Amino acid sequence: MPETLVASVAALGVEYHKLKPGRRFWDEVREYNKTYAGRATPLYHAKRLSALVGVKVYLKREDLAHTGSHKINNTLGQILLARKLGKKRIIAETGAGQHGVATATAAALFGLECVVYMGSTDVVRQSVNVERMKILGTEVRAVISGTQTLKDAINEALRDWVTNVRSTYYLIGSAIGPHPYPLIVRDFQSVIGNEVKSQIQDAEGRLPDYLLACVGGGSNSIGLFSPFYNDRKVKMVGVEAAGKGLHTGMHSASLTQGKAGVLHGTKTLILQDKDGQIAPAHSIAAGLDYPGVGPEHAFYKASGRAEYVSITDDEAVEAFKLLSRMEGIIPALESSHAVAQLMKMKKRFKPKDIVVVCVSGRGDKDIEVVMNYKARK
Amino acid sequence: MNNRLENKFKALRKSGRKALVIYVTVGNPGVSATERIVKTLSSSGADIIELGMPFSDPIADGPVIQASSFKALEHGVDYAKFLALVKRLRRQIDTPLVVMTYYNVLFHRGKELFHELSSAGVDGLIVPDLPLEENRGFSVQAARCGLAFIQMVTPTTPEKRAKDICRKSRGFVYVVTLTGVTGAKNGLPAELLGNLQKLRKCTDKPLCIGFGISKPEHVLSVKKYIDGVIIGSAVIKIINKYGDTRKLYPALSRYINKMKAVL
Repeated sequence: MPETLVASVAALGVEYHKLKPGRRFWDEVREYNKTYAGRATPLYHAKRLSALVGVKVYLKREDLAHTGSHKINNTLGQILLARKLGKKRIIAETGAGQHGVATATAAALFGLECVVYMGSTDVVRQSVNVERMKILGTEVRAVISGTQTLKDAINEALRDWVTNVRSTYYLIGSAIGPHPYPLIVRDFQSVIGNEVKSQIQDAEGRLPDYLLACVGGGSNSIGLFSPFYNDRKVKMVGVEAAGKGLHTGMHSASLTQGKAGVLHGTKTLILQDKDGQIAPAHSIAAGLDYPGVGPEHAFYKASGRAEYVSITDDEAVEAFKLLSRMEGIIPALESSHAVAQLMKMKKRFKPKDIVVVCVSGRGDKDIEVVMNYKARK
Repeated sequence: MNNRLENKFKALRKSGRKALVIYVTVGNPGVSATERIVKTLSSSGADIIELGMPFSDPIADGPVIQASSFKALEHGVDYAKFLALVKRLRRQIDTPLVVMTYYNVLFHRGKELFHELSSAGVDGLIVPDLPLEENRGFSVQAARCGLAFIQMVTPTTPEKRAKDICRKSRGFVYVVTLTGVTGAKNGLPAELLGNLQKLRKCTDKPLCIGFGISKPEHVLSVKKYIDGVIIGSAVIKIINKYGDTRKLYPALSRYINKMKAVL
């Protein structure tokens, strides 16, 4: 992190640690989650999918949260923080545009100025979300530097923040960035896992055997996993993007293929070359297209608490179609990676197993990408 | 403190002059061009040369240096080529050389980097995305290799912290003039003068101002409080304008002379 940002990041840490133990702040967060974002989201027993896989499959329906993904959980929480810090201008990065839309929404809700940085590759492939942000009153700035994806959007957001640090709050959407961001994002996203915990108790009277979620930066997965951290019998599987195949080098599997490094203020596993240059990532899912990963996932991996695997573009597109036809739920391409992993693990499951898959977002934004993908094959 | 840097500032203070520190990205437009550029800068009177090791994600840099960095990487400039160039330069010039790179390069290479840079003839190191708390160990290890770990102070650095940074900085203190990234600006912020006056009371170490500076008039009002000026993007613009042609080298000389005249 540049020296210019040190004081601001420290101030955020102080403010958050002041608010975190208090009930009033969380009551406020809960109220917005309930009355505005439509939480709790359902935990749906997907019967046809269950029959196909041979276990009980539950889908955590984050696609039903306001704005169409889990990203709203974090943006509502952080925008309340930004207000406490007296910031009037919000900036954010976005890959798939889901975090951008969720930030634009939260900014509109509180009447704050908002600028979202998005790689120009992503502006093209997620154009629906670009229009949504504009309608919400946000300025979308296309980033033409570097690989023109999420990584470069974060670079540009950081440059904006360094320039306007006195007036501006950087609302990071993934479980990355300098401390305390990964912690803050995890805490606001933990609502996913906490809801699952009580919903599955109500439905089954016990905890699930498996939790499956996709991992790009890792916000929906850490939100699902972390409340179960101490429930040692609950197995966690994080699904990264294998892109065109791990052997091609065109993937985003930082946890399985990366090495320790520091990117965007986070010490974690990173895709990089022999000199420490950050390697370009690839995934059909813009939200997974990032060469780093949240540091807590790196910790879960090192400690063996969670298992990390990867799913190719092809497999993700298949799962996208499968879930649409089997359950009438069109998942985001990001979430489709978790669904694909479910199918892959069929043989590993025991008949009595209960599996929770996080459908982190809805797939409307991806229709065009999938149509074009079909055409290409 | 490293001898070449130390001697340079001693000599300049004695004669009442200020250092002109020039940044270039190694490999823009090519490695052999960089070699000629650095030699020209040195013979034209640049006091210290800052060599940018290109990095894929230069978050502290504005569009000009970013573009130069990507171009260098596209041309295949890697760590080995960078080091080889430094060695070649050191055989030809005695100007203090300071390397600028980002934390992941250092993290990846480890403390070996200090040893390798130092043996190649580098005198100091700047890592703009590595703040004080996280560079303590590195700073000590660098010093052991005879490499000055140069720390940065910015307009948002609180006073007490600035004192600490000045105390820990080696070679000189890099005073960032503005909140923002590198790149020439029309003018420098009004708060700079006050910030420099405060810093001057904190430390006797050389203070060099950088970010946003391109013209002699930028320097005049604060000259009294500083020991040097760091210029990057303005020089890269000249390099980009002429490319590796015969016109480039006199143009660089003219620019150095123009800046030196007010320092």
